[in-house]
Formats: sequence, C-alpha cells, structure tokens
Amino acid sequence: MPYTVSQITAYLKNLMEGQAPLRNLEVVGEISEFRRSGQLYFTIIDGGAKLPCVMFADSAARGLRCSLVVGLRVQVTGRITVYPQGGRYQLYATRVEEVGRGPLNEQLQQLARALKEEGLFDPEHKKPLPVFPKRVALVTADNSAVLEDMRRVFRERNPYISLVLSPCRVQGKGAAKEIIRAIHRAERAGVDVIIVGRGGGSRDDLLEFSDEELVRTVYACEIPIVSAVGHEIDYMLIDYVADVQVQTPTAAAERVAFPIDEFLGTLVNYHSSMVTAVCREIDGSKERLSRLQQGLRYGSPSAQLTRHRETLRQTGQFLQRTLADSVRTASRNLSDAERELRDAVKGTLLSYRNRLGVLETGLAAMSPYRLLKQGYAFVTVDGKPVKGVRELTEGAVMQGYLADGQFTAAVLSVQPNEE
Amino acid sequence: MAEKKVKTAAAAESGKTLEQSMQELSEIVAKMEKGGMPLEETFRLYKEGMELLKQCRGAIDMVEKELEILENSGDDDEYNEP
Repeated sequence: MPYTVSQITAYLKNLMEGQAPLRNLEVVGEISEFRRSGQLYFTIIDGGAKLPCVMFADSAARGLRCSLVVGLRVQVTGRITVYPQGGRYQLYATRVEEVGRGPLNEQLQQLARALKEEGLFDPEHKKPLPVFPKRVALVTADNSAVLEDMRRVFRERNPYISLVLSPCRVQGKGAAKEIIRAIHRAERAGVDVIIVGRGGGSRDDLLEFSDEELVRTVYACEIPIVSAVGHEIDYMLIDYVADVQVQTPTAAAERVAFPIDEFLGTLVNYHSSMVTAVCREIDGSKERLSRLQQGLRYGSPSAQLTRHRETLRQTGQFLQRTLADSVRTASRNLSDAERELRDAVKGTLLSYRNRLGVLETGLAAMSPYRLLKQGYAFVTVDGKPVKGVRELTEGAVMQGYLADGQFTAAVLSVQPNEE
Repeated sequence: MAEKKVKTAAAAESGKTLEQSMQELSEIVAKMEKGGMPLEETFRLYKEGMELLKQCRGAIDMVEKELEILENSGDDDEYNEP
C-alpha cells in the first residue's frame, strides 16, 4: 500500500526531529554559499556532504558571531529539522561562529576558492565507488599502522579482494610529490579503487595533502579515489576533490570492501527465492490444470449423459409413483362407487321386496280363495258367473269352484230371498 | 610485474560486470517473487537467473591474495622532477 508524499515526509520529519542528538548539536563545516532573504540561508560543506542551514533573523541577531564568507570554516549550533515543502532536511541554526584557524589558512582558502571556481570540487564530477571491486590500491606508507589497519579490515570483511600497496611518504616536506607518483603507479596497476590513507600527524604534514598538483592529479584520475587523510577537525583540499571522503583509513576500508559473507548470503537468498517462485508457479499451474480437468470431466458428454440419465430415472420414478398413486386413488374411488352402487341397488331391491310383500299380503287378503276356503263357492253356468239364484233354473247344470277344485252340479230347486 | 600493466578500464570492467549481473539478478528475483507470469516466462527467468547466479559466484576468486607491492622506482611515469 503506497504512502502519500505528505505521509512519508511527516514520518521522516518525526523520525529525524525526534532523535535527541539531532535536537541540539554543533556541526562544523565550510560555508559554500549564503544568501539573505528575510531569513539567512547558507550551506556548509565538507568533502563528502553538504548541509543546508537556515537562521531566522532573531536568532541571527543573537547568535551570528562572524560574517559569512564563502570558504570560512564555521561551527553551527542548532537542531536538525525537516522542511516538507522543500523535501529536505536542514540545520535550524541558533548560533554561528568561526572555528579556529584550520589548515585552510588565507592562502589555502584562496587556492580552494580558485579550484572550486574551476569546478574541481564539483559533485557531478565525482565518480561512484564500484560495488564489487576486485583490486584495491592503498596509497600510504609501507609498514605503517594505517596500512595494517586497512589490511585487517579487508581481511575480515573480504579477504578475496586483491590489495595493492603503492607506497609513499605521507608526511614531511615533499610528500605530495611521492603521493602523486604513487597514485600514478596505482593507476597503471589496473585497480578498481584507490584509497589514499594517512593517520594522525602535525598540522604541517597535512599541508602536503592540500598541494595543488596533488589535487589536480586526484581530479584527473579516472579511477575513483577515496581520501582517508582527515584528522577529526581538519580538512585538506584532497578531501574536497576526492570522489569520496572519510574520516579514517579504517572507515575507508569498510566503505570499499563489500562483506563477502553478505554477498554469498544474498546469492543463497536469490537462489532459494527463485526455487520457491518456480515451485510456487508449478503448484499454481498444477492446481489450474486439475481444476480444468475437473471442469472438463464435469462437462464431458459422458458426464452429461450420466446426469441426464439420472434425471430421466428420477423423472421416471416420479411418474411411476404418481401414476401408481393415481391408479390407487382411482381404483379406490371405483370400489367406493361400486360399493355405493351395490348398497343403493340392495336398498332399492329391499324396498321393492317390502312393497311387493305388502302388496302380496294385500292381494292375498283380497283373494277369492279366502272366501272359497270359508265355504263359499263360485258358480258359473255355461262359463258365465251366476250372480244370483234368479239366474238359475231347475235342472240347469252349473260349474262350481271351491278352494281345492271344481265340481259340476244340477240345480234341484231354487228359493229366492223374500223381499 | 609486466603482467600488471593491465588497462585500468579492464579491471573496472570486471567489477562493473559483477555489479550489472547482481543488478539483473536482483531484478529477476523481484519479478519472480511478484509472480503472475505464464509458466514459460517463469522457467525462462529461472534459467536466466540461475545462469547469472553461477556467473556471480564464479566472479569472486575465492582465494586469499597476498599484498602486492608496487615498486617505488619512479621510472616510466609522466611526472617530471624539477
């Protein structure tokens, strides 16, 4: 997730301004430029860096203890602040005073200015140090503590770097010429970096390292040169012209020698990163392949067919069940209807039988056979029923019906009822 | 020390090539860690990376060297003594 410019700047501001040492400190450097516009803006430099400073008018009124002149060495008291709009850090100065009489005496200051004018100290001209030098030249005195210190550091950090000693005097009058020759020898020896190193010494010795010819030699040299001749508080012109300036020869060796175990460790990390990445990609591809295969299997005609068959089977089952249910229901309805019909018919039959019985009984009650059984007879003459005796004459032949049969009889006499 | 008359450029060259190789290698590793490439690309980068790795390992001559001392003879240099 990216930060915004303001966020990261605020973070840096906090980080820097929160450091106790940076809140109240003194910095020594040479004034390289200044201007006044409301506040006082100036820059102090040494051979390796520059620090923009700002002094507000009220602080200047109280704390500015010397006139600002380009080339003047000063000590600035104040605190480090971050100026967000300018995207830089700066020294917010509360006090500026000239510092001692450094080796840059009047003559040297003039020379420094002149050489600076020529562009010999231009940052753009400075060459970057190679990250992985193979051969390093040490320009210093043979059998010196400086040499041993540097050799020790190289041995500890990276014993595989070839060291080449180009010995020379580094103190006393005329040392500058020897240093120049030593640098030339180092150039011819085909090295990747040259370290010019020197330990402590008297002020006069240091003057040799401000020799104009030496400065021009360093400027013209095509191989990067590290100047490690500084005393803690003194600077020499070689410090300004060198590609890199450090305080001590040990620091120079540390700066130049890349730690071999770190290097090899980095290679190991790269190796495992690449292997991990490839394995990860292969796993990813395997997974994708497997998913695609699954998809293919799912969508394959045989899989589809199986699914369709299953659907069909289920539908068939469903239909069968439904059909069976319907049939069962229908047949149940049919039996119910059948039963109802039978019951209805039975009922009707029964009621008819009853009626028939009743009618039968009625009929039987009205049957002449009852009468006949009681002793009455039904009489006919010539087939015609005799309704009275008046229809009878003596001697007529009559047919008589009784309950169990008929008889034939002749009339003997007739006696009608009296009126 | 005739063999030491090597062109300064050449010495600087070998150092720089290692620097370049390491830079390329670091870029390849970053790309591979980022991922999201087709498999063939990953394999190609892996091959390239392994080759560079081999080169970088080989670039360091893992032998402790003796201190070489240049003769303070003052001959065949351009500086003229007054």
